[in-house]
Amino acid sequence: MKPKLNVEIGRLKLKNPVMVASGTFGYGLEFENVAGIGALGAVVTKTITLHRRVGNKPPRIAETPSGMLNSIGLENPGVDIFVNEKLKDLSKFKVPIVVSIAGDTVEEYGQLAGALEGINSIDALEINISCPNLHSGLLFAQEAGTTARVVEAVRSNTKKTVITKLSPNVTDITPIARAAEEAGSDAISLINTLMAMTVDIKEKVSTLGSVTGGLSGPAIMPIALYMIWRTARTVKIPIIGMGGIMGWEDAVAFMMCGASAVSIGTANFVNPSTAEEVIEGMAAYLRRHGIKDINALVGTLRT
Amino acid sequence: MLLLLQKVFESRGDKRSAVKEKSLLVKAKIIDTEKIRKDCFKIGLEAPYVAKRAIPGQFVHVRTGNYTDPLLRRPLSIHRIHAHSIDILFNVVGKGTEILSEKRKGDTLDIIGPLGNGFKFFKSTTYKIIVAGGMGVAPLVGLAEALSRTLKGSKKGFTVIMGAKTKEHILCENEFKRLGADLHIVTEDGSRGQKAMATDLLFDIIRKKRYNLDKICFYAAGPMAMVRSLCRLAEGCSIESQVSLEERMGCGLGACLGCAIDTQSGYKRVCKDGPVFNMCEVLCE
Repeated sequence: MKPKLNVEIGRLKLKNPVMVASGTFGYGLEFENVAGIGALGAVVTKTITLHRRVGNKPPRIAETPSGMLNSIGLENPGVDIFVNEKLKDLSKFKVPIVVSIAGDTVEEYGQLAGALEGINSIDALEINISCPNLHSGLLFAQEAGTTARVVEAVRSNTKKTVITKLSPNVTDITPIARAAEEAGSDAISLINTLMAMTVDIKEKVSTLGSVTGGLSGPAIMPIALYMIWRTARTVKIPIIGMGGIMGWEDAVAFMMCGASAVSIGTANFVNPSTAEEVIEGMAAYLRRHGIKDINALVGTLRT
Repeated sequence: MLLLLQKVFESRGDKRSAVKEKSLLVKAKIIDTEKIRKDCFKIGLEAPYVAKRAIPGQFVHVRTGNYTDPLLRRPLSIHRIHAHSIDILFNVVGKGTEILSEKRKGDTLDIIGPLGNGFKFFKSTTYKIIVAGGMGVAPLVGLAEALSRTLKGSKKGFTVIMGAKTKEHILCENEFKRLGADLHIVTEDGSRGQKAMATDLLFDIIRKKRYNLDKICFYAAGPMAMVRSLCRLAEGCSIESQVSLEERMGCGLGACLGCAIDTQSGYKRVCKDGPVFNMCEVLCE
């Protein structure tokens, strides 16, 4: 028996629930020679902005125990080059495309959604309001009100599926997740990276050029599981879970906690086949346990 | 039923090997390990497709362990390229390279490669000078081998200037000698050759031999201080001069933008736009 792996996120129909997370897979083409891109549930692109961004001062990454810090600063070529070059390359893989978008203002999010609305090869938008590497002020995702305003701005400019990516750098995730849901988001993805830093004591400097960065990798998985579990008990819209998934067992845990789909992030750097291995591993798990449909796994954690 | 299963596995096996041929993700068997000196190791990897495709200056992205700590792969220069195998040469500088140094013949290593841009050869009249500082020597041996092949029969030679901390730190001397290079060695403590930096010696040689700077092509790798002073000198020299640079890396594939360095034309990715850059691109400050 072949278990059913299809999941639906808003109007987005995926052949399996395993995506690759924004910023860890470029615009897809970069992984062409090391991964089977066509096998993925969806590709979430590196975040794009209205205008080109040069990104943060190097060094931009540092390794930590079972994790890594990054502070890329949303370096990207801007929406026009993305649409005319990167998107065309990615479209050839016949895989659902989720475009991650970010702006400095609420209006910019709306403009970006509008600019991408007419493009059929884009299946969904992921609103990145949780990148910790931009400025020292509050993130949009750190307040229910600003979260709602950004989601509304995007929602009113697109008919595509809207996914809102939330930040773990908050005191309570639930009012923010609820705000995103009420403002019309079709789904929530979490977690983005945790604000963090490491120090080079010899040079008395941060190991990152921009001093602080975002922590990702297996080190943050317990936090991600907790936040997804909390959020799943708060909202009705589907959750895409991410944060340190290294193998299928992790993905199963995310789904038990309430994630309808998962994203592979940092693991793409360690083993570019991770997503494919997770798909195969989860299918085998379902077979072993006689589960016919992967959706039956969602939120099955016994408490 | 069994037969059916077997068939399924066979067809999957076929599919996988077909993918593998194209894939840069390789399980390479270790065919040789050698401790060169304290904390410096050479590993030979059976990797026919990597060897076939590699050019000097490219790197392989190596997963050192099976667990999550250390998490990231380690980018290591391809040291030498053989018919069916490649060598890597590395210093133990942290957890990852320490684990790597404990690998034994027969183990397999999960590598991605060859990655990045290698050194370019130009059919030009320039005189080639290789400048190696410390571990920077690693990719330059493969380069010297390729250079000596292209120069074969032309009576033209090339110069290698190698700088090391002490005489114990001198690496690959015999390899360069065997290739017929005009080899000059300096050390920081004077325990072998002049007590000087590689670039100091380079300036002397250029002055003494009255080389015309715009007729020289440099190939270099080494500490950033050496690279910068060389790039300042190279400002007036052939635009063919190239240098291999280093930075901490994430994906190694050009996707994560983690290994950015600042250049004359803005941020560039060491993994994809490099690791070999034109010297005129490098910021000297």
